[in-house]
Amino acid sequence: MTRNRISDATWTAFTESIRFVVLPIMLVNLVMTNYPSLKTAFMPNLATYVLIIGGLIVGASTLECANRPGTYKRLLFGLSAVAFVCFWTFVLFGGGVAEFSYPPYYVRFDMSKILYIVLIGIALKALLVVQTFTSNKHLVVEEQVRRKAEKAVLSAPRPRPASRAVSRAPSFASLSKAAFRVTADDEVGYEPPPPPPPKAPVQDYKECPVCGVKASLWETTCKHCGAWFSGPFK
Amino acid sequence: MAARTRVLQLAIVLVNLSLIALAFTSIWPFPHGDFKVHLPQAKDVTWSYENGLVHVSAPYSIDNGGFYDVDNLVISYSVTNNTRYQLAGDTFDLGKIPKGSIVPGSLDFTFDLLGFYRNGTQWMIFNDDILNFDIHVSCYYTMKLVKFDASYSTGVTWDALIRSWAVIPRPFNITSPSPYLIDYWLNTSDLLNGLPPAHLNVSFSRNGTLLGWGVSDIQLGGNQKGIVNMNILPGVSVLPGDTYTFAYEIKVMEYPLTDSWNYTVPGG
Repeated sequence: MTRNRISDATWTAFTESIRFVVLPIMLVNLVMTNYPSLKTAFMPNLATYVLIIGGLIVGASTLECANRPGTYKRLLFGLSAVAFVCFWTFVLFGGGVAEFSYPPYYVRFDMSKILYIVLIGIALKALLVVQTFTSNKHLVVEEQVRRKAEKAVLSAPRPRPASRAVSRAPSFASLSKAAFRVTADDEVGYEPPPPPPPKAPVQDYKECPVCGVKASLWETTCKHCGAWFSGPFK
Repeated sequence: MAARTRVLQLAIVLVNLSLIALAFTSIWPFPHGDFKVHLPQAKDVTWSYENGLVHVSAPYSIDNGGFYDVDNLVISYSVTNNTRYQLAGDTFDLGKIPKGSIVPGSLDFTFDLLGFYRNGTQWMIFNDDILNFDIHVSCYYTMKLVKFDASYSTGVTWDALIRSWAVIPRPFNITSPSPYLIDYWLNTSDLLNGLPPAHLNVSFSRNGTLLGWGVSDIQLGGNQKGIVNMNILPGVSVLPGDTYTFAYEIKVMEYPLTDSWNYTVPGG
């Protein structure tokens, strides 16, 4: 994304330089050479003005493209570029008033009203800039929230080990992550030990050896016949 | 969101295309020559003189071959001589010129040369001059969004009505009753061709006593030469030492040309 924006900005700088600086200056020189009788308000230094204001347009447009849609920087530079284009147009056309003087004739065109309407048309691009800002703003906010959350996770304190034994537990982190084949146990002559015999169920009572009546393990005498039990008594 | 942005982009593009079309159709007719104002040239100006008034007619035409009507077309003019004395001036409103139409017209005006003469402004009667025509045309175009102003100045040569004249008596040799011949010539502007002739009166007197006179008509226009016979009264004799007065009056229309001179007969 960043690389795209940089390439967009570079391309914009190139195209805007052609549109607002190079070609206009060539046209201005052409017109001033071929029509010396044409006079406008800014004609004496028109090429300089076009260069300066065109440079501002190029800068603002480049910075506009260099910032992500939805950011305030892009909005600011976009609106600035539109304002500069309006100003540039006004200066280039001499405020809409042109005079031709070729004696004995003198002709004056006052097209300022049309120029103002054209400026309004140019200013409509500001709506597009605002629209781009409003439609992409939520994406920027969401990304900011996500980054904030990630940053919070990264900056949170790590849990301390619960005990020394845990801390001494084997860690595989330091081991090699290279894959290797594990030799089977039976391939090296290992035989598993025989299974242990099943344990007798534990009785929680004892029988009187005399009368055979069941009694608790902790009884020392049979309650039925009074015979003595042998230990242990639990 | 993307769809809304596309619609907005499309709307902006359409609006801007409309504005470009509006600007183009407003400007294009002027450099392309579809909208033309033919202001009067010096060679197109016609003159006439009658009863002390000079009538001037200067044709013009306005060709609106553009895309829109022309509104509030106003033409104003001012005519001054070389000393910036205003001879005529006016402003008139031609109103609206529909697209595709040609409006021919003429700037017609009159200035009172005799009135100038009577007011002491005699320069233009006896001297060549240059009349400066300052014409200003203004109008609105493209639903009054474009204002067009054009000014034009041209100088038209004015020929003096009466360029030169002379009344030259021959050598003083008056013997009554033989006539005394006097040469004259009168150079006037061709503008006066066809007008009634000028009248030349010459007189010969001594101490206020009329001794002889002569009359002749002189055609106007161009250079006219002639001889007028001055009839001397019977019995008049020229005496040495006396002073005689010759006087003449050439009446070119309403402009009298007079002069006199004295002659003293030598001897006595």
